[in-house]
Amino acid sequence: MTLLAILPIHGLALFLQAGISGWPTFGWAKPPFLLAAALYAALRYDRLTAGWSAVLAGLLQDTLGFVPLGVSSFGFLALAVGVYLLRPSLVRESFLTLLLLTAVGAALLAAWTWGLLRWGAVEEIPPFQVSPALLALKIAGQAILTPVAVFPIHLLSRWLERAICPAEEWPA
Amino acid sequence: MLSRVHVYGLVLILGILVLFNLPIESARSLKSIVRGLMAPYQSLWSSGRGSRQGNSLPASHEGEAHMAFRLEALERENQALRELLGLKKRIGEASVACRVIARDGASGWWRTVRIDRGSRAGLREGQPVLAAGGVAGLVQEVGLYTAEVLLLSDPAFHVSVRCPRTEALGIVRGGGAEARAGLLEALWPVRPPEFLYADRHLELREGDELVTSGLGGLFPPGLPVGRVRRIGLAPGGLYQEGLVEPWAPLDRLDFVLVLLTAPEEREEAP
Repeated sequence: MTLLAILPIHGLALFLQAGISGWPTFGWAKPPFLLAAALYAALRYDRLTAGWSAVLAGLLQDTLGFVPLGVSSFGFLALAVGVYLLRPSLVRESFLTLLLLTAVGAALLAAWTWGLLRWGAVEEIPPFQVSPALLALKIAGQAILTPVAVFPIHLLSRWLERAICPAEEWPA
Repeated sequence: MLSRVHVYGLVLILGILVLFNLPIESARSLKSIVRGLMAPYQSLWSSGRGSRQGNSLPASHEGEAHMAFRLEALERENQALRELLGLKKRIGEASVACRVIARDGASGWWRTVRIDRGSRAGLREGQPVLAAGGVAGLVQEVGLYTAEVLLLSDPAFHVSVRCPRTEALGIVRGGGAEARAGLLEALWPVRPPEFLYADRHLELREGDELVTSGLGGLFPPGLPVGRVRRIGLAPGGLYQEGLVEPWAPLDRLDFVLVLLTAPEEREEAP
C-alpha cells in the first residue's frame, strides 16, 4: 500500500519540477520537489521503501536533463541513508524537519553534481560552464526555494498515506 | 552470511552502477520514454498558460476585462505564430513548428527548453532552432516525441556570426556572469550573450546587427541573431568583443521553428 502512496507523489514531484522554470537571479535554481519526496519516504517509511524511493526519484530527475543517469540516484540514496540513520534523533512528523533536511540535502546534491560534471569525464553532455560563484548562488537559491517544494509534498504525502493505507499501515 | 538489509543495499548500489554504465543510446532511450510520458501533460500545461493567466484576475475584473485579457493573450500567440510563419517563408528550408512545453530541465544546470516534437517529426541533434525574432538555440537531445533545445543564452552555445554593415566575423557565445567592480563575484548579475573575436580594425558600433555567417555548417547564413549592445577592445587588445541583445525572446518562448535540412544537403543546394 505504501507503493500506492509514494508513486503518485513522485509523479507529481516530477511534473512540478519539470514544469517550473529556474530562477535566473539564483543560478536558475529550482525547488527540489523530487528530493523532498525522497526524503519524506526516508523519514517515514521502512529502509527498503526509503531506498528504492530515493533511487527512483534520482532517476526521474536525471531523465529530464543532460545529467548522466545515476548521478542524482546515487546522491539521493546517500542522503536517504543519512536521513534514515538520523531518524531516531529527529521529530519525524514535523514539517520543519523535512524542510531543514531538504534544504541541506539540496545544497549537498548541487555541490556533488557540480563537482562531478566539472571534473568528471562526461562526453555526451554539452560543455558544463558553471562557475563556483554561480554554484554558490544556486545553493542559496535552492535553500530559499525549498519551502515551495516541501510544503505541497509534505501535505499531499500525509493526506495520501491516510487516504490510501489502512490505519494499521500508517508509518509510525 | 549477508543479512536481508545488506542484500537490498547491494542491489540498489548495483542498480545505480548499471545506470552509470548504460550505453549512451540505452540511456537516451530511457530518458526518451520518461519525457514522452510527460509530454502530453506538459503540453496541456503549456497550452493552458494563456487561459490560466486570464483566470487569475480578481472577481471584480471578470466579464469584459477577463475577455479582453484572454483576447490579448490569444493576439500575442497569434502574432508570434505569424512572425514564425514569415520567418519560415523567408528561409525557404524544410522546417517544423514546435511548442515549448518546459524550461531548464529538472535541475537548471543548462539553459534549455523542451519542445513537443521529436525524431518522429524528423528532428535530429544539431538542428538550428529559430524563434520569432531570430536564432534561439540548437537541438541537443532528441527523443521520439520531445527534444531538448540548448538556448542561445547558455554559455555552452556558440554560433559563428557576421555583421552585414562591416563584414566583421566573430562568435556569439551564451552569457555567464557580468563582472561588476566592487561587488562580490557571487552577486554579479547574469550576463547577456557575448560577441567575441571580431577584427579590431573594423569599426563596430552599438546597434550593429549580427546574422549567422554560415561557417561551421550547422546554421544557414543570414539568420538574424541579435544586435551589438556594447563593444570594445578585448583584454590584450587583439580583438574586439561586446555584448549582444538577442532578437529572439529567450525568456518567453512559446513556439519555435526547427530547421530540418542537414548541413550537407544545404551545401549541395544551388
